[in-house]
Amino acid sequence: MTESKQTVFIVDDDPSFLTSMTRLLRAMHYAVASFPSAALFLAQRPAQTTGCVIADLQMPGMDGMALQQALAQSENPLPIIFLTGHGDIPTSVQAMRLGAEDFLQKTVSKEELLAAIERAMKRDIFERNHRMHQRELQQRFKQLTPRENEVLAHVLRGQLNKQIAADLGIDERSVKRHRTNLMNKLHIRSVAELVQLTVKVDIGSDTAEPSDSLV
Amino acid sequence: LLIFVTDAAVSAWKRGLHQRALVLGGVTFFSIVLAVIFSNLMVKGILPGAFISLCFLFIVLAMSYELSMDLVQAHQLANDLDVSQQRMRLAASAADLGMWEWDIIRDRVWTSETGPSSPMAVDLQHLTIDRYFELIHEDDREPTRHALKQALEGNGELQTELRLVGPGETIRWITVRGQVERDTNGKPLQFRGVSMDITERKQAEIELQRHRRDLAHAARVSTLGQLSSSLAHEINQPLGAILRNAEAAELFLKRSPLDLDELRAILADIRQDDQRASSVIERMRLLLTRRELQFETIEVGALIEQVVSFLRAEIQMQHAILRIDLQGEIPRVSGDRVHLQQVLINLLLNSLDALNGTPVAQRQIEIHVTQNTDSMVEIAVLDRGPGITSEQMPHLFEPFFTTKIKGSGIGLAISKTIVDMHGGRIRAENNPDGGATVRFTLRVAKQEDRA
Repeated sequence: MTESKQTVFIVDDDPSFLTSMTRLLRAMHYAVASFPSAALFLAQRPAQTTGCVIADLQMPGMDGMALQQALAQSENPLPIIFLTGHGDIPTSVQAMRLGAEDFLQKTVSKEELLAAIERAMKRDIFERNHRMHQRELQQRFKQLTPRENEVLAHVLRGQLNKQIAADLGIDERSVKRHRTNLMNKLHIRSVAELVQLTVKVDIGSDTAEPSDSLV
Repeated sequence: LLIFVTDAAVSAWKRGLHQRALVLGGVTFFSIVLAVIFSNLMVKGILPGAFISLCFLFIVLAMSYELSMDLVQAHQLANDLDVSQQRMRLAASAADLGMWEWDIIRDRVWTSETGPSSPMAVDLQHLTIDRYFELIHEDDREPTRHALKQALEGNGELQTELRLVGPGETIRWITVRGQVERDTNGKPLQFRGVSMDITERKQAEIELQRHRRDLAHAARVSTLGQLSSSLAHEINQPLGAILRNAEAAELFLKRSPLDLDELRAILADIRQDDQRASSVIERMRLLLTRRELQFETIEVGALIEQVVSFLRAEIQMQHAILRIDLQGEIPRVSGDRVHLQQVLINLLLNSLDALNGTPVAQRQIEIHVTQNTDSMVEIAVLDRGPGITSEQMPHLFEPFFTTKIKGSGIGLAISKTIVDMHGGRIRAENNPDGGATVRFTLRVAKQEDRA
């Protein structure tokens, strides 16, 4: 979706590894930006960037895990590949569980490293598209009035117009009108589509507003 | 005859034997008086000439008295000497002592039949000092010569330990004590002293040292095992950089025109990382060697630097911060580099363990180096962990005492042994503002070692 070239961000406190990694990836025609610490990376990276992060797990100050958490909470999370001089199994399991794209030794072969970078880049595009789509859908839900949200909740429970009207204390024609408006705003035509859409947007975790009345 | 008896009388008087002197003197005087009277009487013709020999009779009697007394006494003395020699031999053999003498003027060495030199299978009766030195182990010859020289030039007292090599290369350790005897001008006449076989004691000492050395080595191996993860990290870091650089160089080589500057830079970086990796391995190798205590002059700052670079990855993994504080100009100390590194590594690892579980902001370790007294330097390792409980405190330096789940309990015990062997002291205490401090002292290197 995004037009700008994907960048590999390298974060490592070891200057000599940082240099060699940058050298190799540049030679392979990647756009590369390197940072000697996680804090510097978080402070200096441009807001709208695409690509992936290759970070050393052990760094003084903010380490790889902390960087991963900070990235995940940011507006623009990027997939992260961890590199380590020598990794133990518990650490790698924890890193993967927290959503790391990969966990590699620093002495890993170039091919494995590139495969990991490519996977991370694809995942970045996929997740970015997914996030944009989600955001768009959420925007649609945000257009609903409180009354339409209430009607939506009852429709999702499978109630008929008559029951909804009784529950909400309004007449059946008003319910019908709310339903039509709601369907138009969400760009859907059937109740089946409505159910699909709510599952996709996963209302309740991503957006706070409609979640009170839905579920 | 007269002179002989007079001489005997005078010397008897001198020796304090007044009674004998009086008898001899009296007889002499009496004989002379008698001779004068007789010669007068003979001149006047009252007595016949033969009477004069009567005087000689008395003199001869006195002489034979004197001789027989001397004989009796000599016999008595010979008896006494025999008894006292037997007593001495008994005492010497009971104490495992040997006696020796070196007549410096005539260069004759005499040693007693008992004692450490006896099984040396050499003719002990005709030894010169050079022949005696041939019996000494070649490594000990110079130090012994030096000690002997010092005794002769100095206060005259000799005390040294040396090895004698016997038949079949058997080695006996002996300790030698002696005293110089001088004439009135202070010229040394002879050396006299005792020697004692200390082979068994020495072997026990060597055995003990070997055990300590093995234990210290085992502890180092186990420490390295503990550090294996961070050491692998330290080595893989440069290896990874070398690999990336080599791969980049391969790509650059396919380009045309060749970017020679870039390739040169890559090669320089590869070389530098290679040295980095091998220096980690060198430090590990040093800790893995089994070795005797080798004293050398050590700069404390450099020693700490080496240990810290060794533990850097470990400290980083624990998110701890280390501060090193050298107060003023610290003189060099005398010690074994590897063993002292081991002590510092133990203390730092203990501190790191103590900090595990405390909030990250609190994970601080400090190393303070101060000159304690003129002759001692103190190194203190301080942490902000939970400290040492009063139950733990008395057992801290005992072997196999541990508060850790994975601890072997030999770290501090080994550290104490090592510090003791360096003539220093180690102790632990809780800080008034939290955490614990372990401090140990080391001897300042002597001026002559410092050159």
